[in-house]
Amino acid sequence: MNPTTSRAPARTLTTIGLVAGLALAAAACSSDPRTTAADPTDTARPHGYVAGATESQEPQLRLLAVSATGDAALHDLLTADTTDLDAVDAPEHSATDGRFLLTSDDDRTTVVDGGAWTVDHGDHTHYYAAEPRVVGTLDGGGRVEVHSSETMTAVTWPDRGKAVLLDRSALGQGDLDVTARLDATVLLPTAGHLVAASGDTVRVLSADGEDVRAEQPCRNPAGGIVTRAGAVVGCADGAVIVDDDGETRAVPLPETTASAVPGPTAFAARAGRPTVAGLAGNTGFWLLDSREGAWRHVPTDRPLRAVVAVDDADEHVVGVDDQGRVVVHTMSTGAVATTDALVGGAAGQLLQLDAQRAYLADPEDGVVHEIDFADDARVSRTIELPVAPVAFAEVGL
Amino acid sequence: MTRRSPATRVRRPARPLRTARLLGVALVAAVSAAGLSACAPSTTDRPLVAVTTNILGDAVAEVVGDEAEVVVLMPAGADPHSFEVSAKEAARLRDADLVVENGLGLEEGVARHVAAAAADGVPVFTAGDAIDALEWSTEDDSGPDPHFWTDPARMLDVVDALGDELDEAGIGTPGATAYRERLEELDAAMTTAFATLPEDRRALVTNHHVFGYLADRFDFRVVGAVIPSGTTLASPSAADLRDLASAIEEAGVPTIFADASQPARLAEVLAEEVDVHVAIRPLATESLTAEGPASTYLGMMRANTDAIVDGLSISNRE
Repeated sequence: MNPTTSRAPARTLTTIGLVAGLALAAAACSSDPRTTAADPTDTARPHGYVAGATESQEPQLRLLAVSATGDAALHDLLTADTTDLDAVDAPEHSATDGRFLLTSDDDRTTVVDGGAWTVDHGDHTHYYAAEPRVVGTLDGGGRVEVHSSETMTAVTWPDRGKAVLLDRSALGQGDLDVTARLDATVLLPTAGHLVAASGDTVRVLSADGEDVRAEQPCRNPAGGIVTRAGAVVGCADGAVIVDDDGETRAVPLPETTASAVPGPTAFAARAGRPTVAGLAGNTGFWLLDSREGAWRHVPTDRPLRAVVAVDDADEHVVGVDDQGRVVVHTMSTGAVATTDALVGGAAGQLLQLDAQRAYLADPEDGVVHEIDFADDARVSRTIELPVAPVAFAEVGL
Repeated sequence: MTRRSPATRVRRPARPLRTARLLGVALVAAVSAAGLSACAPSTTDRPLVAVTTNILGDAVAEVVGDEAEVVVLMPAGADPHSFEVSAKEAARLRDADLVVENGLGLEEGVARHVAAAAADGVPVFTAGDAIDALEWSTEDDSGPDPHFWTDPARMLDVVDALGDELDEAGIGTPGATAYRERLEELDAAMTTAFATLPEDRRALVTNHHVFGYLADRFDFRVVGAVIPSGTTLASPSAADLRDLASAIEEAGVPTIFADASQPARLAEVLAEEVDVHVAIRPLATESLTAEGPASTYLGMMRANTDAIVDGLSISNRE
């Protein structure tokens, strides 16, 4: 068993789903003679109302961890409080979209709501927190991936070529509402459509998955990510990028390296950022600027086991090498900083990050190492968890 | 992932409604007189004006006085971008004699209910249509800035246009003249107060996103700042504070205006880690509070003016 947690940075939740705990206050018959306001006794809760959710001034960052036996816990990074959650099936695989953590065994897949999420409205951002909970299970297991838009959550089991679409606001209210089932190895929901890969083709589908709007050849599609510049699907010889209007383009790997260096089969980046990273076999990593459609191969001293692009002003890229060390590349200067070995070499995949910190879980010691990647890969905190995580998500993103 | 591309934003078509309006008024007036009896009987014979945001609700209530019942959909202290209404409130919106909304994309949570009311023929007054709008933009997105109320002169434009709209809907505006005068007084008071600040101090280093219009009107620079989060304050480095510190140094201001969950801790680490000595104050932004100075629009604006002038006048260099 070698669990992997892949990050799907698409953040989300419809604005309709957000009311969060904004008190629907004020009286229908206010004593203030000038105005009256909403009726507090109204039992018709607005669509998307999430009981107990509150809006905050900053990201409500939490770590969600599940042990090899299925014990689950949540650690609040702001308060340092840790809460136990209901146990789930013993996980063999996992994936997160920055709010939900999905874990799976061979037979079924469990959805856990981390209860914290961010909604980016362009000129401003909303941060929400609600009670975490185990939402429920989906039939079907195996390696799993999850990606979300504001209204939809797409769960894919790439080894079986199956995928389902879930209503994301229902999910936030504790209901697993499957709205469509598709045959796909990659499924990415974007603002107006779905991007699905199967066979050797990437298809742009209508939001309900019914109609095909565009097709683009893509040999051996594997791995996908949604960024603010479009949806990215990995192909044997490069990537297909689908923009918000549903226009597709193929972005081949640079010809000189295409045969010598393996292409990425998974992508990871800070939530929504347009530059994404993927492993280049044992040679280092790839960066793909999904806005410019430009690849860049970056060789590393040691093979990496995980890599995530921060895509901040200094263009940090955070990786974990085969000796369990965190390696931070600062692309703007070329500097490379490395920590001591923090985890076993095989455990290096449990890497998550936000705009300021990266988190690397150690399944053997039951701790999470917090890395300040902008400060020469400083280990800023070591956080103890009540469960030794084999599945791990940073939520609130 | 930014989902806020112009194509996906929920927008109500503002103009086409006007033709439907006159038909709607008579019908809706009859319905509302009969149907809105949940409250005291004395309110049921008055026309109903439904207002989306509490800032506009305050202005509308001042203008109409006792001539109309004013229902404000947005609770005190709520976020205008994300508050929502119940099915019952949405139905009430459709029974109104006039709906007043901010527009320019502000009320994302209720836009569809306003659109439904408009489709029923309820006249809708969109405040954003009455002003000269500014644009916001980020590296890959842009749109009209809906936060016009931070400029009292634009608020005056809105109140003038609102008066015309109320006249057309047959709703009296006994308070309009007095409220106009108070807005003009506010405008004059803000002009005088900000004039006491030297030009090079007129900078708002802030994580609030609503002060573009205030800056436009009173010649301030807005320096957007990212406030380090609670996770970084637990074990901060100079790198965490670099962007904020350089924004503060460039602006040369003794106070920043920010919502921060731990303002005292932030000020402390700025001093310790990067030797930047600064006061941190929040401003009232886009929602009136139930009580206190920001419980009215005029009070909120005066409180902010005082906070800005005080904050930028102090000296806390050590």
